[in-house]
Amino acid sequence: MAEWGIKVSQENQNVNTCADKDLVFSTNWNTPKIIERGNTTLTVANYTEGEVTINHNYGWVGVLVYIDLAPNKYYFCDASSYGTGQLSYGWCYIYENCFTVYINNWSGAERTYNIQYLILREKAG
Amino acid sequence: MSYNIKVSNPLYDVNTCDDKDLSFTGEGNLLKVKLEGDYSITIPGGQDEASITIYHNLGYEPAVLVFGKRGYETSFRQRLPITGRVGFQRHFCDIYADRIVITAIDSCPVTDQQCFNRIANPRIFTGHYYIFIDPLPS
Repeated sequence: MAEWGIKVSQENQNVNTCADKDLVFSTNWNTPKIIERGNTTLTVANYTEGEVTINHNYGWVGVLVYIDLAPNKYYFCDASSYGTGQLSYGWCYIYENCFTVYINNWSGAERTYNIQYLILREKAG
Repeated sequence: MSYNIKVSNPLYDVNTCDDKDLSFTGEGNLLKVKLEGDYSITIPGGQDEASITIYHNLGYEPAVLVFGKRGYETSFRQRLPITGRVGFQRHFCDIYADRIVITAIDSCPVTDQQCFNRIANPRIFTGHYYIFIDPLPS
């Protein structure tokens, strides 16, 4: 069977001789792919916890979630955002065909949070 | 002479669209997966912590992405590092030039006898890891 494939090198690198780390892309290596991107909002009363579930049918796949815990300031929340220095914090639980985002609002007033997410093609477990 | 390759997202003109509307371009690096796999960590009964080591032998610290369980009894997963507010359950990954070490910690407050009874048994933490060829910025 003939060898085949595609390689693209980074700028100023020779695609025939450079190290794998200096390639932009190679069919020898898988790359994370985004199946779906989206956003939603969650309004949470002061000193309470809110949650929203985003359903999909991709099975156990990874997600990356970002929440504007402070106005115009987003934080990673796909694990948890404890320790970001914000009064509010959020976290995310990944299930087989959905993920649930929780936000605990300690900001001093009701807030509507913007949630941005990327659903990856890659397995999460 | 310089070369490039671009692929646009559906319904976008590859010659005129913004970079954010490309699914691929030779002008932007992509994360490339060197190794991936499922893992399982068992904390023996009565102990607080266990780790597994996965060797990659790249010679530099690579970018890594890991999804795992916060608690052995939970059905959901999260991206590592995972910790609760109190910090008695933690699951994280250390990155070295030749390996990664994934650790699960399940310990108890000194006064919580119910917790000590619980951790007298073995606990299994599972997950899935990706080790990329791409180095962390030096």
